[in-house]
Amino acid sequence: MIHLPKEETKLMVAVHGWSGIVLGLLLYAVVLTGMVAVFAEEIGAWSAGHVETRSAFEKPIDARVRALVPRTPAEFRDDVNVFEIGDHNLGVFFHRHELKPNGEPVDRGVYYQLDSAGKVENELRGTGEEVFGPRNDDALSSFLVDTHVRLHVPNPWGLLLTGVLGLAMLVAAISGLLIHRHLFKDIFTLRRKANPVLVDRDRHSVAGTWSLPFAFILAFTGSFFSFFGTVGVPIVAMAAFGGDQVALSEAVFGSAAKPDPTPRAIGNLDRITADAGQRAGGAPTFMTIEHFGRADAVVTTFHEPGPGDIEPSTLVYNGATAAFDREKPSIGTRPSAGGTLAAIMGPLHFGNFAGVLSKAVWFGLGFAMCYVTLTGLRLWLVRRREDARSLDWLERATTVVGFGLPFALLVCSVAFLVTMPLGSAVFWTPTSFVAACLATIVAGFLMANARLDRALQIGMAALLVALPIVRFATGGPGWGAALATGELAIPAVDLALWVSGGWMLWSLFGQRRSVRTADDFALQLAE
Amino acid sequence: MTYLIIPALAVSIAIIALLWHGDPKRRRTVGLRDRADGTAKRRALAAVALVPGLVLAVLGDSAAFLVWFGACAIAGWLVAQVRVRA
Amino acid sequence: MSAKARKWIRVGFAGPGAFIIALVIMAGMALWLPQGAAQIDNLVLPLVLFPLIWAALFFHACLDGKRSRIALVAVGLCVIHAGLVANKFLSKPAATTPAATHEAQS
Repeated sequence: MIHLPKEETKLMVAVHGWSGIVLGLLLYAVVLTGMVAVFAEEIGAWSAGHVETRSAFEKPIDARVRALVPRTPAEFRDDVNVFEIGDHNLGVFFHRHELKPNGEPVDRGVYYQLDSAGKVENELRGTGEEVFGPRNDDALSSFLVDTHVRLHVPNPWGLLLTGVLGLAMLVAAISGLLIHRHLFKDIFTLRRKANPVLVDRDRHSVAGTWSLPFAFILAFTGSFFSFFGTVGVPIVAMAAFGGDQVALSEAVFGSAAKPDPTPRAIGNLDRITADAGQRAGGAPTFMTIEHFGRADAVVTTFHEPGPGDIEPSTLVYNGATAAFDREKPSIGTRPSAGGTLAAIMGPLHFGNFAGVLSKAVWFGLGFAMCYVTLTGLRLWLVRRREDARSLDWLERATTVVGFGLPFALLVCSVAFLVTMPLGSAVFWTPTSFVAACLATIVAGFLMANARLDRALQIGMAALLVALPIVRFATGGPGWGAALATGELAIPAVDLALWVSGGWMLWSLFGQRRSVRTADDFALQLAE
Repeated sequence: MTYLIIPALAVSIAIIALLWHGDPKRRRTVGLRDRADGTAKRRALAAVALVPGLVLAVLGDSAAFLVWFGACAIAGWLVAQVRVRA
Repeated sequence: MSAKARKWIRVGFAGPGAFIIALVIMAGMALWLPQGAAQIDNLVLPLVLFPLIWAALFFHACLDGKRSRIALVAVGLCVIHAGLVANKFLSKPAATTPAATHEAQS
């Protein structure tokens, strides 16, 4: 499609290949966990047996928040964040803003976790980084998201690592486009009875071509998220505000309200949530109260995007009177090109702007990108096998990571289901993941590669089929209880697991018996 | 998101299937050396396949446009997996 | 210049060079981009565009036939944007730490 001179094409092939090889396995881990994390909310509801479907904001919250005020030290009552946790219960974070010695803003306060009756189930004190960790009932979804965002490497190194991986994916996508001379002519060609190099090349390039625009978008938005907090904000704050990150934040997010520290009781929050729900077409997903208890208090509610939009909607209320003030864009005090561009980075990356439909599409694209990464690694290895170079170790590493990683994720899902009723899921979820990884690595040293490949696939298929049964056997709600409250995530995830597990088992065992006839159309998914 | 997403996807995916069916290189590699589509026809089909997405974009439904774009990409990849014996 | 040295120039500008220069460009862009309708474009656009700035520098370093032009573009952009930032700091009164500034303001 794009005809570069020969030397430049050779360089792009080298860049494409080496960026894939050096970082491919780590990138695969990020893309795989990202693919699964698209459904983190549904997996959270499914794994913890949450059957409540009404938002916490659709129930009265005003009395519950006010009840927390007397037990919260006055020094932490500057601002309040209100959000959902667990089975649509309420989480409330009273806090004040502080600065670390390096100028980085941080929130410190008291985080209350309320139960369904509005009573304080847990109270945590400290900074935002300290108090917002995994809970027993969301340990699985937290683990998935944390693996994706920073590969469990502590901040800021984890974010910088995933940021670099995002840039590598960007390089691979652009260089792939530059080296593929017949992008559209080859778009449907999957040779099966050919040289293994051609077979793998076709698989890689067909999947890569179809998913190319999204690979670009996801790589670009992903590396934005990794870099903007770690290096972006400090650098722009340094240039524009002499290092004052708070000034930068206020310029970008700040409200236009005139300061007025006169004490005034906060307005009725239920009135705000009801009004906001009506204006935005759905209950808030998050609420902030700035300058709590002051005449200049501002309440901001955040909502899912309106019909046809991808940018979340944001409504602003006068905190003292609970009167609606205005609708504002997500970023900036009024609509702007920069604000819109920044605001759509999230929806473009997470795919959560149109409910389950957009999530399903993003999941499918994530699957395609995992396939592209793995087939690329295989292609690189198969090419060099012809040169009789000893790269057995890399072939094994590809099998161990390629199938071992999803296998370990399934093992930790089982461990979560078993240990959540016991209250020890926060420990056992990551521990079982590490144990499964170690077992796979040991098997990688001991078993022949082809046998390990097949064993891991059988293991995955068996776990996929077993998971819904384990969920129910460990006390999870049945389909009747879930459907009675409209919690479709539970039967949907169960079905998805059975269908994919069944499909894998059929691919592994059933195909040997099937007879191919002439003119036989058969849909074969990724082999 | 507009209900138009469904007919938009139906039209585009049907055309992708047509493009797959008449793809010259694919047909050559599976031994079907005749009845491949000419270049002009393929370009016309590709242009028509894009029209539903353009309609969604012009209507201002960015959510529907993105879902359409992503679903077409996945559909194209899946259609390419279909195996046919000569 | 030897072939090896020429190769390492390209690698240097494509690798660590592209990253560092992209950071400098991000800083400088905050000072020359128009502020836009909400007065934030110059703050937000450098953050959003950083990966693309890096990619542009990377691929320019890889694909431009003339190494001298690679060096000129990269170093030139770096000097211009670093100069903008330096000029801003030199024309301000003596700076205090951000934490101390905030303590004084609250």
